[in-house]
Amino acid sequence: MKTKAALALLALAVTALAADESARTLSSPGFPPSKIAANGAIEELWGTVALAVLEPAGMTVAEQRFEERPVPTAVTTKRAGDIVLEETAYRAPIWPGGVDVLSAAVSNTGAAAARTLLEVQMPETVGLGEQTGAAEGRPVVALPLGVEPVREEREWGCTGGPSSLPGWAKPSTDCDPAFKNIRAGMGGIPITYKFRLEPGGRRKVVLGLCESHWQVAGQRPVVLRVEGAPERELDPVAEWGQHVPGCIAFDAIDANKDGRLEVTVDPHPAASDKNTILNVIWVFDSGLVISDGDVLTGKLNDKAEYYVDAGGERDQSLYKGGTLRYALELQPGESRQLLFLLSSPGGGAVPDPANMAWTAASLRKAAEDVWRDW
Amino acid sequence: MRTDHGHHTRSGQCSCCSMSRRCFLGAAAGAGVVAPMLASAQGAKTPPELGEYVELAALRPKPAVRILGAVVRATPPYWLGWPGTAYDLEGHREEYERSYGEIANHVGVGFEMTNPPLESDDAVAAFVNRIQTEQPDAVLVHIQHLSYWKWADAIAQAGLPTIVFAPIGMSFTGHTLEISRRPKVHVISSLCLEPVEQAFRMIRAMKQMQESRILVVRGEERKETVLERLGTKVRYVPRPAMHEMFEAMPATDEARDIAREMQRVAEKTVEPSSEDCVNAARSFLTAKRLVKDEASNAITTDCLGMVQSKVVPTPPCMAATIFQDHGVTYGCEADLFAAVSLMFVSYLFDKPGFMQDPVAETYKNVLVAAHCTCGTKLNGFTEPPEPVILRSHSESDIGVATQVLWKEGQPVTLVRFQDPNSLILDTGKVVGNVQTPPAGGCRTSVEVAMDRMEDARDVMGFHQVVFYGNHRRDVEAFCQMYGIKVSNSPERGPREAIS
Repeated sequence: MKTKAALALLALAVTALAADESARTLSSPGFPPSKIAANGAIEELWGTVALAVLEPAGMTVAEQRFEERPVPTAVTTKRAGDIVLEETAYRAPIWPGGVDVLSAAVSNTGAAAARTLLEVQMPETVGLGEQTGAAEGRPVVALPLGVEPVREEREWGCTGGPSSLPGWAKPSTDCDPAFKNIRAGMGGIPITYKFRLEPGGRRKVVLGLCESHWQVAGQRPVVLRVEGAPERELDPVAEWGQHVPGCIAFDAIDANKDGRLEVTVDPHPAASDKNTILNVIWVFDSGLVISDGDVLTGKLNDKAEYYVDAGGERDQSLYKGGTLRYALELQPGESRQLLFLLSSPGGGAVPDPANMAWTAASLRKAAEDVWRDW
Repeated sequence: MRTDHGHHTRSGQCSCCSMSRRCFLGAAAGAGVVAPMLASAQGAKTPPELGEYVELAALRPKPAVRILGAVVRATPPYWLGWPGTAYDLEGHREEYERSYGEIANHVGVGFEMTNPPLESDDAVAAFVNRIQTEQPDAVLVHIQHLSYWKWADAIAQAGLPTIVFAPIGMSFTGHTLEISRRPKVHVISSLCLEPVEQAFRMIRAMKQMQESRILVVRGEERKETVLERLGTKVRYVPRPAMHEMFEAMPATDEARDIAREMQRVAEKTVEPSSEDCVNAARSFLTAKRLVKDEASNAITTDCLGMVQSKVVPTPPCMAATIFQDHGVTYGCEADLFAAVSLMFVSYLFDKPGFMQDPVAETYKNVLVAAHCTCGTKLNGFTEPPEPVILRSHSESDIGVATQVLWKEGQPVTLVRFQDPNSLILDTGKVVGNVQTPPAGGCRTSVEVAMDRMEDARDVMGFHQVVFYGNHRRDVEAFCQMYGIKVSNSPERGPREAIS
């Protein structure tokens, strides 16, 4: 009997735990859930995202509650001095696969103006761009608009947004192995890289492209913009053919003298496929005499100041990955809202916040609409 | 207010034409019967009564739409300045206000004019404050003086969808040049009121898109998402939900009535048997039952997959025709954005679109638009339909499909949503109907000479939706209003286009 009673108690405990666990999730009909930790951290398949107030010091979790209706929502409240951080998290069922929404309301409850430092803790593997963070080759975090994070830049890198698609291209002629990989600006977003150099400096930049999707010309022409050089329209299939790698050279100048050389691939206005692609970038000394053939086959890789296998293993974001910080000045009673979107299980890339139509209100409405009629 | 879209009474008595052959589709939708309770394939959901009458037209959303109007002008009387002292300011104001009300009733939206006219900065500021608070679906600004476009601008800056109507005599090109190309703004500088009607329909269409749920019947998953910008809900249900319900759907009186009417009103019936027609009617009953049970307003199914695996004896081509003629979208092949495009045309123009496979006819340099289902009320839901011939589904040679004969010389528009944020837009003219045989492919097969294109091979997209009328500017206006990117097929071949 004792054993039976113990087993029954254990079963009850397991059931209670399971119920508790199921409550601590974000979900949407038909999609796998994400977990919410006791400190409000959201556990995604690609890593965990947590918010913390670094300044003022002494942050504590004051409260965490879960709401089942109208949308399963986790609200976690943290306090640090006069600063209150309220995190509201739920799943927005945006097409095609949904995103987890993390809305942070940072408020100054004190009588004096206050500075606060908010930290967004993310895995080091998340490469950060201007508006998104990427992991596993796709954007997984959309950052708030209208507020600049404090972050450190690398010597070179992609400013973020485009996906990495290793092995996408099938070059049909002898060429550098980097031609097999691409960065892709899905949804027509530009691909931008920046390279550090002396302000006003000159370089020779060579861009390598290989189109392996379209068989006929005219589908995906692109516009190549290299700082200080005339822009160039290019249709790789018209120029070289499908699967055929090719190079285009530019005499580049740091025209705005900011110590950064900017290289961008934009969609051509006439393109039916506006998803941009880029395979390789070489940045050489401006005085170096090069032949396109030698560049294309990778023979001059070791002569390059920068050699970028776009979308390859050693490609990188311009900004150092992982944790981000936001410094906010808040007047007494002032509150700021920061909206983060996180790639959720069953979902894909998060939308680019600079180009999306979603707002905090429409994301919430989408979730309420779906749950109401489900 | 015309909201029936050609709907026929449930008794089958057509009030508009005494049940002519052209009106059978309305009767098909309106014929109600009672059938025994049968098991369904709804998973954990309560099995519905399959025979319960479902009114097809009721599946089309009829949202409440509110448009708030205001007249902006100089305080009369004044000396000189357009519209001029000779212009009957008050008479025209009253006349236009009356017309706006009539148009709103006709389109099915609410319209409320703010009185008195706005004649000062303070009055405009108060109006802006009001619309920001009340958030109507759109604002109509009626310009009654050349010098007060700044107030239209101030109202547009409030960020709500804004229609600016300026009768001729209220503007020069300089007034309209910039504001007429601004997102969320639609400027009409005209004496015609048809564009106002279309503008009201545009606001209504967006609200309908926002309130619609498309049912996608395919695969094994049951889930729901929402489209960016359009707000349309997309519910996926497993494919067996449809073919198992079809299997259980009895050949009721309603099904037999519909089958008889199909044959009676068709110009002729070529391949289908009477049994095929009954099965096609059962497919129609199944689809409307499923759409209603899933609280949806439109449907697209993996129809080819069901035919390929032989789980149904007929593809849903005939059902799709009936749906389309009643303003309820039925798309093919579970192609979500083709269905979105069909729904867009239905809501924005009150006429059915034709989802099709594009074929380049290189000898005549025309596009052949081909599929096995097509609405017949191509002129509009309340207008007479085009002739229809009952055929088999061409690819499988089973079931009932529709060959609709399009009017030669008819201007047409082609649209295709690529995703929620972008759309391909082209126009052309019908130059013929292709017969099968001798052609293969699909039963409704229409030759379209493309506008603004040298070569029909360059037509962009697939499963574009073709519909009657050159509505290029209307589609552009909608897209400008709601932030949708428009692209057109290239005027010249690809090499020339970018060199």
